[in-house]
Amino acid sequence: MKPHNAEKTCWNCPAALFKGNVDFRACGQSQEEIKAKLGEEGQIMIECARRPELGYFEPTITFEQCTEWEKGEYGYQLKDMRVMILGMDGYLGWALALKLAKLGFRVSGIDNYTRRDTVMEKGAHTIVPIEKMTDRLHAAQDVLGLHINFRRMDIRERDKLGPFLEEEKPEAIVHYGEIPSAPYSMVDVDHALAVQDNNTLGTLGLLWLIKDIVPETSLIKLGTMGEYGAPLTGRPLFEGMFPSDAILKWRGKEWSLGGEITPRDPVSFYHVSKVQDTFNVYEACKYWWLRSYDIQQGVIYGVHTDETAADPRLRTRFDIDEWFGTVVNRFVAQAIMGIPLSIYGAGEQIKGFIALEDAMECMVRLIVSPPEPGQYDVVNQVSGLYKLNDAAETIASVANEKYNLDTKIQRVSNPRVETEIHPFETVSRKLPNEFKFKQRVSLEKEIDRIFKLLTQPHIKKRIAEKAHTILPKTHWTGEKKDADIIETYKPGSKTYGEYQGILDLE
Amino acid sequence: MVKEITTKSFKNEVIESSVPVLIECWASWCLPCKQIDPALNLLAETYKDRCKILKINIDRNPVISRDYKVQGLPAFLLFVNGKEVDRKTGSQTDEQLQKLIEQALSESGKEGSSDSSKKEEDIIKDRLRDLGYM
Repeated sequence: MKPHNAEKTCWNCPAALFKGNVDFRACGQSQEEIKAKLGEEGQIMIECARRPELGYFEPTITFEQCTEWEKGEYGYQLKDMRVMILGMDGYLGWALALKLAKLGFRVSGIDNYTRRDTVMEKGAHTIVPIEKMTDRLHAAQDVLGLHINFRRMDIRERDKLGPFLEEEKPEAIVHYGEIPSAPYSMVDVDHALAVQDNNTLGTLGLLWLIKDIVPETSLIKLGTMGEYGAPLTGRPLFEGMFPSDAILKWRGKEWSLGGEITPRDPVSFYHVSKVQDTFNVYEACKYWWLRSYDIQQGVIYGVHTDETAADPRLRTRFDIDEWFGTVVNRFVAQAIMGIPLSIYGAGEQIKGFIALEDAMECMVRLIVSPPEPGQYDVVNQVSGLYKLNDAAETIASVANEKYNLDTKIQRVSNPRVETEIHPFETVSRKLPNEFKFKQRVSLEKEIDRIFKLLTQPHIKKRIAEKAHTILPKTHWTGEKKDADIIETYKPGSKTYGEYQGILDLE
Repeated sequence: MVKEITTKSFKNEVIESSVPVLIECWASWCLPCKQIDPALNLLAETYKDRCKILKINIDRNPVISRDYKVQGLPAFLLFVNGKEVDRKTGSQTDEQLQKLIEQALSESGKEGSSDSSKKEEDIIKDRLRDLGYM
């Protein structure tokens, strides 16, 4: 079977020089004469930044045919492809930097250490210890022989980021440089403003820099499944846009909704920032022929990638506090501490999930298969759906059966404003079909890996030091108080609603 | 899969076609264009030898876009005997596309249908009517 990107052509390649050779407004808005360089039979002609010896040619060379693209583990890979990671010091950013560098990509990155600062503001710390960035980079060199070019900066410092983009000329940019916490954005007005300033304005500024400096790069931008909300009608959560056979019926008339961006129903000011990003990125693609994959990622969990597990100094961070700890990661820490796993409200909320290792695999597949100029596309990056009640039961049973713990489950009053009982149908067809992603890690397997790491004595001690930061105190009302305990029970002792969500991967 | 044509093959595939042709003008940046593929595949299977369903990328074939004054995407151009007889712009439901093809088939069955091809003015009027402006 051919790799997923074998048939992609120069139209997808960041080395293809379209600018000046193609008038992208040939359709529609412009009625001007075509300025594009055309061949004798009216075909578009371009140049290649990597292969100037080709002169002007028709951009129909496939990745499979091109000598600059070589076959690798994740499909054809552009030789020494330059990738810049924004937010490289974070949970995902660091893991991806190592993975890409190991695969032969030329990796650069920036971070302003917001995550370290905000976790410290909560009075917490990453319970898997991580080194300072300088030491992380040295360890990457020592242990894996990898060179990564890092600069400390904020994405909003355009006077610094611009020159760095000029210097690196990234052929793909992974944008993880956002504050990823719903509760953090709901603390008070200052936090809400900080999140939207960093996320929305940071991304908007970035788009202008890309337009001016590296318009041929692809922006792989992290969104969240939380942008969609959970519509009570049970309408499927499509991948960003409606399919063509979705129909709007009104007053006896019918219209196709095909291609229109689906409604978003964010559930915090953080989620709103991601929705705003979606529209800003989409518009930038439309106005300036930028290209982007907007990744609606499910709730992430886990500790393992081959590279981060290679040495303790290469580990990625792992947060468990109420602001930054994702639910599965938090539950495992609670189980180890003997704290009942805390479910917010009814616990019938259904969410899409993905393990760290699988998410990284998806990212590589997206990076090596860039969109075409002007193409904005959305992928739902989810490998399983779980009800919070069921996730808690699974984690409790691993804890009790395999690790001999006495884990209980506890329902607490919901600090959030969200629907607690709802239908949930998610479409996630693009990654498995177009990008040939196959899930590698089951929830049970990754939970086991988390337990193995977190039960090590020095890490257990670090959890104990910060266990008081796990339970929610940040309420959507703006109040700061402990959540009320509704009930505490043993796993397996309760009957939950029978409804299970639907994950459409076909 | 719906066949993708180019400027080079346009004459042979569209102008000289012995059966009516429905051609979708698309571009990678057009969100509705990306979504319509399953519907077009289905139509291609349904109509097989009676009506050809084709696609052309407008960014890659600017001459066609200029010659046929394509001003919005997706644009569905319908050709009978080598002449454009109708077009729809914007996303269409399966039913709307099917209706378009059925009309073409009945047109092509008439005597001297090549003379009855619509003028550009009529096409614009039809579009305005569709949109409820007339």
